[in-house]
Amino acid sequence: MWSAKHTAVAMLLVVLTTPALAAPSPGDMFPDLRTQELEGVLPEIEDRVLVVDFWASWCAPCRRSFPALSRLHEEFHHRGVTVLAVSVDRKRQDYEAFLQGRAPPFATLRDATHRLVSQVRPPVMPTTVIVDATGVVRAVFAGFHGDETEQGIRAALEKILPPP
Amino acid sequence: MTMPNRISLRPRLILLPALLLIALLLSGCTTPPVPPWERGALTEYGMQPERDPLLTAMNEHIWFSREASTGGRGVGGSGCGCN
Repeated sequence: MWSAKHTAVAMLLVVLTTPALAAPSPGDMFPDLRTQELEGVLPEIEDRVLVVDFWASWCAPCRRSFPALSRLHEEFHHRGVTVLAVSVDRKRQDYEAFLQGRAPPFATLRDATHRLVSQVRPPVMPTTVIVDATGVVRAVFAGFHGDETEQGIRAALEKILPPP
Repeated sequence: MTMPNRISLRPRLILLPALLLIALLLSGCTTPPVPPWERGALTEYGMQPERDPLLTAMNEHIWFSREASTGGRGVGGSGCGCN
């Protein structure tokens, strides 16, 4: 007889054979950036809150997000926040051309092998992930929507950080 | 008396592997969307459908001759699907 157990097994099989496309969500552990073979100089991230922004040179909203990230860096750096902009550009020249003339005050890295981005699976470009000092994702901002996103990141950081 | 039992066992033995096979085949038919971080490839020259100007001009001419309309073939933006 066909039982509920069989139905459960069948549903599990269907789920397991369907490609997983899970985006990061608050409460998830963020991968350790020190083991991701990122191109560039990784700043000191121990015991710091991270604002990890995934971007690409071909992504128009990413260009608009850089000034906002610069402001957030200036505002929160001394309070223990590190802004990291991780490029997913495959070609180094695209990455370098994008940065040329911009000279962002925060750290920029390149995930040339897509090792990190494949684990984090950001839903859109750009995506900004707030990671607390213990490595737990606290907030995810999909896309850049001007002031709305900037204020959202600011509010998320204020929730994590002790009062100034 | 044992025959009916043997016959009734067969559907059960066949159904689960059949379901597994169907699940595998159906998952093979799915096309996962291009991940956002891979969409840079869509902006490359080789991915443009109208990268040959001569062919584009010919297609435009044929379209105009048949439909008495022109333009509206191109799509703006990089197709990165940002936001």
